[in-house]
Amino acid sequence: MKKMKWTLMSLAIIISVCGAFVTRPKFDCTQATQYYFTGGAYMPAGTYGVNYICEAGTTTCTYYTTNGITFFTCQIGSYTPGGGLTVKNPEANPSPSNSSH
Amino acid sequence: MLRRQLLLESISALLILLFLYASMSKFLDFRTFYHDLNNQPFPHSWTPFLVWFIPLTEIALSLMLIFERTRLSGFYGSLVLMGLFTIYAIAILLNFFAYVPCSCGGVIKHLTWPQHLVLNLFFLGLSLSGALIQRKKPFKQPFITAPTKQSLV
Repeated sequence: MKKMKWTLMSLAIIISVCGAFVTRPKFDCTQATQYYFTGGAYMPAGTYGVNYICEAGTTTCTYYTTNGITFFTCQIGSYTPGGGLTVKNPEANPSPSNSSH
Repeated sequence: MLRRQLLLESISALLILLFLYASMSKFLDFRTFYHDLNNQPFPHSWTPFLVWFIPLTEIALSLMLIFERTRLSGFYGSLVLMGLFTIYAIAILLNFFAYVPCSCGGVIKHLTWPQHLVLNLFFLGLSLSGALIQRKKPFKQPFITAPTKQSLV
């Protein structure tokens, strides 16, 4: 039984570690400058989480380029300007109800 | 008895496979994982904590599931972690958050949220079964036994 236990455990460890190495992305396109497609041109998307986010979806969220001419799909999803739910500095933009006092 | 032990070993092996694969994928592509966590609908201030907490917890649970002495705690830990992941997947599917984020972690990234939920429920069920079977196992006597009432008199 002990032999079977250690065979199973060793198999699980080897498969998981090797599987993680095999499925590791070879090239990380998110490290390159990201662009979004406006419909007519590719515009710099800015910093992820600050200037834009990619919501779940099947379309292309951002593109990257190696030569400035050809643009390749990078992130999948729906391009959304803004940083999600993060409020960077709430005091910098007070609500109208607060400023009326 | 032998069949129950084999079942326990198989459940542990499957959970180890999931947790080790998920944690290794995160560490091997750490930048993307950090980036993906920033895409989740919770405050960005949580990211520096979660980016270490999630994979390290997964590795700790894998180690606990290997050894007989810590296995029950490992199953309970898996139950809690998979339970939290399942609740999160359900909340996303019910549009509880302002937007639907991407899913993360190696090939798991390619799953849709409903597929993610099925995977989570499967491993949640495994953790629960493992904990129940392990609890029924006869308790092994520790090396040092606690003094009984009679021996103290």
